[in-house]
This record gives sequence, C-alpha cells and structure tokens, in this order.
Amino acid sequence: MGARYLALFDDVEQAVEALESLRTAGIPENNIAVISGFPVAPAILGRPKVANLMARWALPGAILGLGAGVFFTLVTPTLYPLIVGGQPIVSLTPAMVIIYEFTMLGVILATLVGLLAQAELPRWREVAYHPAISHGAIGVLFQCEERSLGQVLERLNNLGAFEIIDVDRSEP
Amino acid sequence: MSSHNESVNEHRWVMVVDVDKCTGCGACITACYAENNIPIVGEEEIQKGRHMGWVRIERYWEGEYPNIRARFLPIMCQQCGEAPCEPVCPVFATYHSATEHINIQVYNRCVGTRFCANNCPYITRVFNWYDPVFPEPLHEQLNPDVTVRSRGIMEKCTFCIQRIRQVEEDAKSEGRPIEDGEVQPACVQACPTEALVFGDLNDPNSKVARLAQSRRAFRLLEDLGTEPAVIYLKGGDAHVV
Amino acid sequence: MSSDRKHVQELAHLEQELKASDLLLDRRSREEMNYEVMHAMERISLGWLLAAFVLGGLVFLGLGLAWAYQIKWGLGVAGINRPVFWGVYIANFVFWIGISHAGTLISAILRSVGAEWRRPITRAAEAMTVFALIVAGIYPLLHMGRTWRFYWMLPMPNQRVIWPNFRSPLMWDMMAIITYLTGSMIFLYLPLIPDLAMVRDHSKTKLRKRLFQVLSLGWRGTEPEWKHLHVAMTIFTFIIIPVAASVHTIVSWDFAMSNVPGWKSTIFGPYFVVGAIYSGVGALGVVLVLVRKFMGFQYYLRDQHFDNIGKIMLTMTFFWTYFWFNGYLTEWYGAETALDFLREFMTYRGGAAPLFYGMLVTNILIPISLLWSRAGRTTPWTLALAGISINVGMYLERYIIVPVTLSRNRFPFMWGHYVPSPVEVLISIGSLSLFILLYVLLSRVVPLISVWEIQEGQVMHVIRRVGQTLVPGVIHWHKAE
Repeated sequence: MGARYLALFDDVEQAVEALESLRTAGIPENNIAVISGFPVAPAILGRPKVANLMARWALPGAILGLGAGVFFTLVTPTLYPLIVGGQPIVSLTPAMVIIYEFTMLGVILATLVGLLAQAELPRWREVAYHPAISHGAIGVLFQCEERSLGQVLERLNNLGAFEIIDVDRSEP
Repeated sequence: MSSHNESVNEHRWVMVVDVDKCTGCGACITACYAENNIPIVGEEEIQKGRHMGWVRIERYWEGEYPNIRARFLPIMCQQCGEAPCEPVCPVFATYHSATEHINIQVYNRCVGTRFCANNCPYITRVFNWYDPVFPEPLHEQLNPDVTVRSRGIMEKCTFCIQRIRQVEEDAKSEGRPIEDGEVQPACVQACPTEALVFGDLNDPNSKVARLAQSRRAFRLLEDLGTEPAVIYLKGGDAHVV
Repeated sequence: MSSDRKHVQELAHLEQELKASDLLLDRRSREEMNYEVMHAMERISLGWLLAAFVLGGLVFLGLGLAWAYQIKWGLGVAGINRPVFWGVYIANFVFWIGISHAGTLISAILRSVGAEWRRPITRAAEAMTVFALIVAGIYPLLHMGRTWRFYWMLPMPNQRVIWPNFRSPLMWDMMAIITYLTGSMIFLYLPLIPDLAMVRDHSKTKLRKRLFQVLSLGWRGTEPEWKHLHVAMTIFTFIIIPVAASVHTIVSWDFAMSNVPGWKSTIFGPYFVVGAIYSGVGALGVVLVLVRKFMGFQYYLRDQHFDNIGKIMLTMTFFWTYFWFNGYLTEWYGAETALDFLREFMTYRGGAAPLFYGMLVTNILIPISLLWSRAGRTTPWTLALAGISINVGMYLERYIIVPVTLSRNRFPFMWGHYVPSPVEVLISIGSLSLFILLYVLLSRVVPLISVWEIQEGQVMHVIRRVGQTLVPGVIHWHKAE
C-alpha cells in the first residue's frame, strides 16, 4: 500500500513518456490512472482498453420499457374493457405507438443509470484531481511504494511534470 | 354490424327522422333545451358559433323565386355504431354502451380536450365555453334527472338516456316488456308532425323497424362507415314554402 | 532566393486563411477558451438584466394572468367555437414541437455521421430543443377545458376504477413528449458534465464551486468516465433520432387519425417531420446569429457554420416543398367536395388566401432567394432573415392546418370563422417570451459552447505541407486501436 500521487503534464506526448517510465519502475497498470480534460484514446497512452459494458444496462432497459408498453396497451384494456369506435378491445396496431415510446424511454433511462454505475459517478468527495486538468493538462495518478518514490518523482520531473501532488495530504 | 354482440333481448334504440314531414318549427330544439338543462348563451355568443343546442335544424333553400322550397334537416348525435369520437378521447369520457348501443358521454370524466368534437363528421358535439347561467326563475325549471354541466365539458344528444333508463326500470319492476312508443326522447315527444319517431329496431313490430325498411330511408354520410343509429326518410315531394 | 521567400510568404498567408476559415484549424489553448466562455457566462450587464426583466414580465402576463383568467372564466375567452374547436393553442403546440427538432438534427445526426463542424453549435441547439419542448408541453394543458383534471390522463390506479385510453392520439402525444423531453434533457446534460466540472474548477466563490461540484457529479475525466460518457452519448445519438422522428409523427397523427377533410392525409407523418426539421433549423439559424452577437462568440461561430446551416435550411426548403405539394396535388385531384370548398377558401379571393400565399412566399420564395448563394448564407443578418421567414411560413402552415381547415367541413350550415382573441395572443406572447427567457437565463448558468468538444476537435485537425501547398487534414484520434 503506497501513497497516491498526481503528476501533471502540459501535453499528451509528455504523459505518454511519463507512463512508460512508471511502467519501467514496476508500477502495475491498475495502480495507474490517467485524468484528462478531453478524451484521449487509451491506445495512444499505451493503456488497456476500458471494457464497454453499457449493453448490460441498455438492453434490460429496453425490455422493461417494452414490457411496460405491452402492459399498458394490451393488458390493461382487458381489465377496464370499454368499447370505443367499434374497435376490438385488444389490438396491436394502435398499441405499437405506445410500446415503441415506452421501449425508447426504457433505453434512455437505463443508459443514464448505466453511465452513472459504470463510471462510478457521482463522486463528490474524490480528492485525486487538480483544476489544471480542465484547462487541458494531463494528470497521471499513480500509487507508489515508499522506497522507489524518490526515483520516480525525479524522473517525472525530468519528463516535464509542472506539478506533482501528494493526493492524500492535499486539501479537497 | 359493429364488433359487439347483439342479443335479441337487448334493445337497439334508433331514431327515424322524416325530412318530408319536418316543418322546421323548432319545437324539438326547445324541448331538448328544457329536458337536458341546456344553457342559453345569448345572441352574441351564437354569432361567434357557440350555439349550445344538441339538435339543430339545418335549413336549405332550393330553387328560384317564385318556386322556392325550404328543406329542413334536423341533425343530432347520430349515435354511431363505429363512432369516430370514441377512440380519440384520452380519458374514456365517451364510449359505446354495450346495453343501449348508443354513444355515452360521461360529463364528470371529460377534461375538455375537444378532440371528439373535431372527429364528429356531423358536427353534433357541443362544448361548454363558460359556466352555464340560469337566471332566476329559470333555475326552477331544471330537470333533476340530468346533470348540469360546468365549463370545460363536452356534451351532446343522448337519446334522452335518462328517459330510456326510466322506462327500462319501470318495465322491469312491473315485469313487462317495453311497449313500442313508450320511450320518447323530449324532441320526439314535442314534434307536432311526428317527423321524429323513436323505438327499438330489434322489435320487428315497432314503428321504427317498419320505417327503416322504407324505400325513402337513408343515413347521413353513409360512406364514412360510422353506422349511425339515426335513419332519415326523404323522397316525397312535400315541402314547406 | 527571392522566389523561395515569396513562396514562404504565400504559404504563411495560406495558413492564416485556412485558420480563419475553420475553427478546428485555428487552435487556441484550452485555458484561453475556458476563460473566454466563462467570462461570457459570468457577465451580467444592464442590457441582460433589462431583457430578463421584460421577458419575465411578459411571461407573467401571458402564462400567469391571462391563463388564470382563462381557467377562471372558461375557454370562451379564447376565439375558438363550433366547429373550430382547436385554434391558436394547438397551432402553437405543433409549432413549438417543430422547433424542438433543431437540437436533434444538429447534435445527433451530425454526431452520427462525424460532421466535425457541429462542435461549437451542439449545446446551443440542444438547449433549444429542451426549452422548445417545455414551452410546447404547456399547450396541451392550456387548451384543455378542465386543465385541473390533467392527471386523469396518467395511468394511476384509483378508487374510481377508471383508466386512460391509450388508443387516443393525445395519449400518444403525452408519452412521446415525455420520452423526447427526458431524452433531450439527458442528451443536453451528458456532454455538459465536463464543462460543468471546468466551471467548478475555476469558480471564484466557494458556494459556486460546491454548486457546480454537485451539478458535475464530481467529474474528473478518468478513463472509465470518458469511455462510458462516450458510449452513453453514442447510444443517445442513435436513440434520440428515431424518438424525435416519432414525436412529430405522433403529433401529426392528432390530425391524420381524424376524418376531417384536409386532415385525413396519409402523408402527414413524414410531412410534419420534414416541416419540423425545417422550422427547427430556421430557428437555430436565428439563435446562432443572436448568440454569436450577444455572447461575443466570433471566434467560435464562423462563416463555415452559417454556410452549413444555410445549406441545410436550403435543402429542407426543397424537402418541405416536395411534401407539401404531394399533399396538395392529391387533394386537388381527388375532388372530395368538402376539400374543394376548403381550397376555395384558401386560394384566389378566398378569405384565407393571404395566409396560404403568404405561407408559400415565406416558406419557398424568400428562403431560396436568400440562401442560394454562399454570400447570402454567410451573412448573419440574411441567414437570420431566412430563418425568421421560414418560421413565419411554418407558423402560417400550422395555422392553416388547424383553425382554417376546421372552419370548412361537410355541412355548410356548420361552417365557422375563427379570430384569435386577446387572451390567446397574450398567452402566445407569454410562451415565446418563456422560451427566450429560459435561453437568456441558461446563458448565465452554463457555458453555451462545448469547450472540451472543441479542444477534442482541434487536437484532431492539422495543417500539413503536401507538395507545394498546405492542406488541412484530420487525424482520427478516437479511432486509435
């Protein structure tokens, strides 16, 4: 268990080299995180891809929506049967409209919930961050053992880090 | 006909309007106002197109002077078997009665979207643009069997369903069938020329059943497929100058 | 030697031109853009306060006082009657739903095909959609006879054992608008999160910082956050397009499901969707011209954007004309008597002829004449004028479809006449003021330019020397494997 540090760089090239030096120092990939103000493809940074698991939220959302739509348009008329316009009590054609809308609403809401769940948001109390990131800086967050810390920090400074913060000791 | 069952024991209420006998006197309109608590809206509102009458008499002039004819066409809710007004109401304030086979309007359910009014091809539906005003002593004339509607509610001819139900209940409690001509909506009762006839089409001996077979019989806007329960008779040469 | 230097000078000049022509080639530091956009956001000038005050007053007058008056006395205070049961309220409803199609078109469709020029426009367009839907959603309540019973249209089990009718096109309207409003609010919010985080980071007061920390969900920009935001936005992009198409189709079915002559037309679905996109882009053009002027966004919104919006407007002019003529020709040929009388009313010396011909002039003639040339499209005031003309024309179209068509039916004895009443006019002004007011307020709460998306785009675009000249190019960072 080591302390967390956040090194800030001005551009992507510097960050790529910094990540490489962290790897050489023996820090495992899952002890490293990259925080940026705009999306940078993991392949550019040499980082592992983030798995896309949104389908496991979107699809159940669609099914739930479809079920709700079917329930309201095809089941409830049998519970409250009223003849209108000489049309049959249960018919699929007009029901398609509501079923479609409910299905779409299901996907929409499920995707929002899925985003929050997968990205682990909201994270209102997280301190591992620096405002320069939203000005375009690239932040490299890593966990490092005490003994190798000095060497790592020196190398990061040489690669152009304009600031390195001890995350757990800084103020929120 | 329509997609619901018709058993021989049930009544299929229809109205027959004999256009050749109609003199355009307007007694039916007055009787309807009295029976169904329809408010008077005044000349100004009527000029804006807000006449509240459930039945209207359309007057058409034919020919040139001195051979002018007037035709009178009383039009009320046609109680369609496949009513276009019914499917479009979002709250089921209008639906088809399974027992009387007429179109029901539920006043206290209506939220006033007026889609049903647009969808009626006969333009027979009426909307309460304001709260009704019955200046004294007219309020003493209100029929207790019929709701007084507030603003924001749709209404229309009901074939005087309160009278239909009254007769049905009386006949049931007395253990006898309903006689032909026993049910009389207010307009039918008031018509001096018997141009309006009301009865049960399911009863083969009724007057309406006989009139429905007439070669003069037709229905309004038949090609629309609404299956109206109002049968018109026209073809004779009688006219009113 | 001197020809080399001349060539260098020429290339330098060319580079300036390329940068001036395309925002994404004209790279600026993120910090600079952040501050510019935040400054535009924080600036509360006297003019802004005056505008907010006046608009707020109009909203209170129209949607407060006038509506309360109508609820108290009944819909008789409006100009509607028998047979014109629907008037300005429904025309307005359709109009605002139409405007709501701007955001979807620009944001979702352009995102889905990877049109990079959309980047500075997306947020302004998405905000338009949300606000137009909010204003549109008021109208079904406004036009109801018993507005206070609106909740009877919600499927809630109750002790009266009654239920709403899902077969009614009005229920379809309700579900479609709820779905589209929810979807577009989220669609506006998702790409806004990183920009809210940016405002949080550079807030001067602690209260503001905490407020934006909550609003931005504590966003930092980690890899999983960016990945899942991107996937969520992709899903939304592909879902919101069919939802938007379905919304205006369903609104058109309020008319097409009836048997009113002039309404019962099978082409109404696509006709309305095309008309909605048309009026939406028109309104977007006007909004962009105003936003650029009042927020000082000359760096972000350039000739290229107005040119492209103008081209879309022009394309939609032809689409709309095609669909309109389709419907008109079929009705003309069919000779249904009631339609003949309706057409007589709308053409030549009929009472509604000014509306009909006015619609054709403002929807076809004026936009084509203003937008056919690049000069016309890239001049802000001509683009805005075209946008206004389009919206006037589309409003005339909705007015013709609703009260004018209803005044001619199959029973000449029951033909009617409709004139909007003062109450209806006040309420219409109130709702337009609400739309503008919401926009004016939003411009001081969130950045109206999506800065992270601009940076994302600028990083991708380069100017390369190819042979003797400079060529703009795109490096597809997001496709890196």
